[in-house]
Amino acid sequence: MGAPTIEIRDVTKSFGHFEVLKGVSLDILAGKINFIIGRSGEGKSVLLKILTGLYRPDSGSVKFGSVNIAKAKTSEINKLRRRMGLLFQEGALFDSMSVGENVIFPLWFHNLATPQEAKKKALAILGELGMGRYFNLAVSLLSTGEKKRVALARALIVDPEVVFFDEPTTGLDPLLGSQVDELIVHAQKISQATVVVVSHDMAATLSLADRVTLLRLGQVVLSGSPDEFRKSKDQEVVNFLSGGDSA
Amino acid sequence: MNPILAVVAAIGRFGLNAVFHLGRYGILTCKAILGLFTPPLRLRNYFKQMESVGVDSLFVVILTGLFTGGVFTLQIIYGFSRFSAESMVGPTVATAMTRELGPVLTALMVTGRVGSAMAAELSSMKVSEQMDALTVMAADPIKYLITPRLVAGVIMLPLLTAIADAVGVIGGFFVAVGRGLDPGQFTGRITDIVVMGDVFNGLIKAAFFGFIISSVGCYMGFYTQGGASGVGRSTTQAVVVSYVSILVSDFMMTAIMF
Repeated sequence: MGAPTIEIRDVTKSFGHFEVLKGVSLDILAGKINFIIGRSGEGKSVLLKILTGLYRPDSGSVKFGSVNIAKAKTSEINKLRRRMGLLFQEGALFDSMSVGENVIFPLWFHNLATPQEAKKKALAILGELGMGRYFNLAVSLLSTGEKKRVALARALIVDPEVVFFDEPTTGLDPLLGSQVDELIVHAQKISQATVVVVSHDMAATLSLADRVTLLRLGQVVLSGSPDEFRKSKDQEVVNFLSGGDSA
Repeated sequence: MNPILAVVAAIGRFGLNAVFHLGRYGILTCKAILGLFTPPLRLRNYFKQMESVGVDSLFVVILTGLFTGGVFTLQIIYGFSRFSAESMVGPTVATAMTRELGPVLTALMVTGRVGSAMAAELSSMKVSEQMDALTVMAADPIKYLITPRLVAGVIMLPLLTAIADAVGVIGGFFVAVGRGLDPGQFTGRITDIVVMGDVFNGLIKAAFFGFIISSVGCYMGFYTQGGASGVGRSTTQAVVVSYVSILVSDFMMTAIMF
């Protein structure tokens, strides 16, 4: 099965009286690195949670292949989730488990491999990410960057068709930030997956993305290639690229 | 606002809040029970929780049972000896331990040790997005985290209570003998007075308390809001609500059973 395109159409989402997403429409390109950018509080993470089925939109559709996540039953969404991987901002590793147990967890829980096969696969992926020797280590002993690598290994072990990254470089120093950038490219290379990155890191966006979508006040300002962004005369885009405030 | 209206509004808010929490608690526990009947079960997870609830609580429960039986004997031996009813000390200790002291004190100790830990663990998983991570990996957090804890509570509390009952009677025995009572006097009439129904009903109570401890601890942890302060608040609430629920339900079950 090939990596699907995700079609997002007219998605709205409110929390109480606060409307976070106001009719967002965009396409996630299959097999490419897609960045969704915007300042803090513009609805990027909410959109990511809608794409992974953690939130339901108030209206609109999110089509993952032929399945509309907005209306699908939990069992259908769970089937889709087995084709997804998500790297959380802080990693969200299970701190009661070792590195190896964390990485193996999805295979163990869904009976997707024997213990020997799972360990072999986990060691291979951890090795590719430079974390092979930490297999038996408690996750509490890892640095932030190492935790992100382990979390990425856990996301990749099920051979996902789509990998989501939630603000992967937030809070990291430039060196760690560039390591995470490498992980994003690595994730796409390892699994040939569709990659969706929510970020406000402009440097990473323009150097890594195949497609960029800028959100502003819960709406799409522009969706296009990095070159289209660089050439855009739209004041919102220009302000965002230059780091200024258009508010 | 008119002070009377303000009081009525406050009562109304309290009522709505109570109904909201009871409803959400009911739905969560029903989903957790349903989790028992949907594969995969992952028995390793259940045994891990049983170890945490049962084996790890053993020491504190034995200590509690031993000293409770001992101090209870100290209190009654003096009074009973005034009526030459020393032969009733053993049966009284055994009845009190099996019917009330064993189940209730074991439940209160386990609440402090395990219920609070469940709330703290789940709430910290909630605030650090570990529960979202489970969901995104298509692993239902209720089934994975709460169902094994419920089962462990319901199975292990009666076992711990049985041990506390036995240790309490043994503690009472040593105190009574230490106070000059003949060993035969202490044990002689226990089997005449204490019937299996006493023991059995005490264990049923314990199973219900185990359900309360696990379900309340998990509920408080699962619906935690906020960061570190939310974790602390959930843990405190889990202990307080469990304590009150255990004592109230103990009264009601005792009224029904005995």
